[in-house]
Amino acid sequence: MEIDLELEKQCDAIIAEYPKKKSAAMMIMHLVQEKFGHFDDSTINFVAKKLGVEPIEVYGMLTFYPMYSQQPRGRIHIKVCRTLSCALAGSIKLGNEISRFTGCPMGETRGVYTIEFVECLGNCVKAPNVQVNDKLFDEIRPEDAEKFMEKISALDERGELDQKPAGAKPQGAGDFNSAAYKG
Amino acid sequence: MAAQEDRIIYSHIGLEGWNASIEKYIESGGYRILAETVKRPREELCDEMSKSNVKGRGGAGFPIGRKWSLLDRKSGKPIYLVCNADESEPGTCKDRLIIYEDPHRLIESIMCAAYAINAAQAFIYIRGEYINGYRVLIEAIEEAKKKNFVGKNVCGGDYSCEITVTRGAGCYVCGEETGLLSSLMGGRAYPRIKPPYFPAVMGIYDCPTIVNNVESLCWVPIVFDKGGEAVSKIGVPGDPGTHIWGVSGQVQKPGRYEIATGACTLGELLYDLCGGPLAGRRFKAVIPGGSSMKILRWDEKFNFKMPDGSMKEIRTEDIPLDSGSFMQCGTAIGSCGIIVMDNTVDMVEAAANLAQFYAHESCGQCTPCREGTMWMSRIATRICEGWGRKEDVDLLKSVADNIVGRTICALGEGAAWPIQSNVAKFKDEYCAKIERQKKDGGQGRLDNNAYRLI
Repeated sequence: MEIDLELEKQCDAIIAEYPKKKSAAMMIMHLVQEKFGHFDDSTINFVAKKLGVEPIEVYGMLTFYPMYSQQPRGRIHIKVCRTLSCALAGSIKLGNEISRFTGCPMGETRGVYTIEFVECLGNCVKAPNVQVNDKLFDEIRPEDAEKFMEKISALDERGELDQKPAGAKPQGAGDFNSAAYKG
Repeated sequence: MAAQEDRIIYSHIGLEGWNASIEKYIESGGYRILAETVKRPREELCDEMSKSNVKGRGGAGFPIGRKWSLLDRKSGKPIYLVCNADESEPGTCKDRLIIYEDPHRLIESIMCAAYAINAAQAFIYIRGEYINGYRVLIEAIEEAKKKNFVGKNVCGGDYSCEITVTRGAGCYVCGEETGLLSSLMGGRAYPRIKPPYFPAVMGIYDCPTIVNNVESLCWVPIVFDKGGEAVSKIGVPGDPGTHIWGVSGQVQKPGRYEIATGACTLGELLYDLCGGPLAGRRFKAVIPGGSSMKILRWDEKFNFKMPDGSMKEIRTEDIPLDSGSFMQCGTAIGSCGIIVMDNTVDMVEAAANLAQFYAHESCGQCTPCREGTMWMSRIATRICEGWGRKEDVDLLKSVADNIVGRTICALGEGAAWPIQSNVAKFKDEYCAKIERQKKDGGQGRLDNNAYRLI
């Protein structure tokens, strides 16, 4: 994958924020994940060189943190919370319905979709929660799975679902846009 | 006594026209306390914090002032402040609202605390899932920098401190302070053993470090402003202040409720503020403080020592909402995330759900936790899928018993406690389920219409 001058500059800016180079690892890896969608040998080596560590250390982090990935993910990455509060509100059924509706098996990537169960998304009081790319959708009842996916497709067609860079402007005060699906 | 909210930390949230901008925050009197704080001597501030006796809100409940007093100030190394915004305890979502809706409160709090402990730099470690929260914080810090509340010569004084925001990447164990520091140093989030790695002495880069939760830090400017003495009088002695209870699960009105400690009971919170159980259901069990704490049966009775010293038998719904009372009942308030379960919930499925969570989140350093959480998850899942054996119930308990106290960090206890208490308090349900499976060869679910938890 091609590493351009801009990425180098962005990495240098991140490193400058920390007392020690190595501390920038989490943020640089997020940047690379965001830019390329996944890690391969060339990006692992790039990050290692930037941080002044051996590639194995970057590889170690890559396999440890669930948000970094070695496989490319679909354009629409759906994470359904499966932990207790959401499960009590039917998130297991919701996840399986979404998987059935899109034809993408749970935990896998098919076409534009990647669908997985994840652990607590941190919005337990509005269960069940689903995160699609960088947007959180809450209070989605399992019965509404189909309606929800229609909404997601519509949002995707309008380009409103595209993952924005982490450094982008915040979207209002919060990302509680359940209205977007209830709409 | 009807339950009512007492908003101190959440005072701005939900106000009409409120938004996360610095203008709104300054309008409401924000950053006044920081400007006053940077003119006061540091010892006085740390004394106020100790006097207030406010406990940490992250889960362990260690008094903030005492944590600060353990700081190694003589080493000559720089001191760091880390704000733990890696809120990943299931059932807990109190910090999310502060970060998203009132970020300047957090920034002012961090700067006040950083000044008081004389930190060279402050970090916020925010969980990776809060992408927009990261954006809100970055923008808020930029705004605050322009107005000279963060950065060089804060509020015109001679103290300087930058705030750096780091994103986590979906790892629960980063909420453990030493694990967080490992991650912040650029590595796997492996917790480190105490001693010697007490963060206050050997934290990030082996320098003295204070790690405080978001909500804990928000108490700092309040204590500095009102005085430790005054804050220590809010709520009950021993656990002053308010707690933000995040009630999730099967109640009419789940939500976050900020209540002065001891001001009402668990029953009043769940019936008056949360509207009681769903139509036609009864409460069955409650996990009081995020999923890691021991579960309470709704029909349990406790011998309770009243504030006047007399003993009285109370029910689960009569437990006052403060840390001491829950301790007396054999559990703890942890991070105040209450998960409510009603009579449709199959407790074995609930246990299996949590066991899977911990098996996924164990960092893998300590064998009892790495193997034990996986084992518990497999046993509990097996029972749910219709392959339960009679001896599984005792096996599950024995695996849980063998994790406690044998791990570097508290994740081991956090994984074992809910299973231990679940098996002990609902053993009849486990046995009945396995009996039913034997009879009809099915899964023996308690209520076939209830949502599956696994």
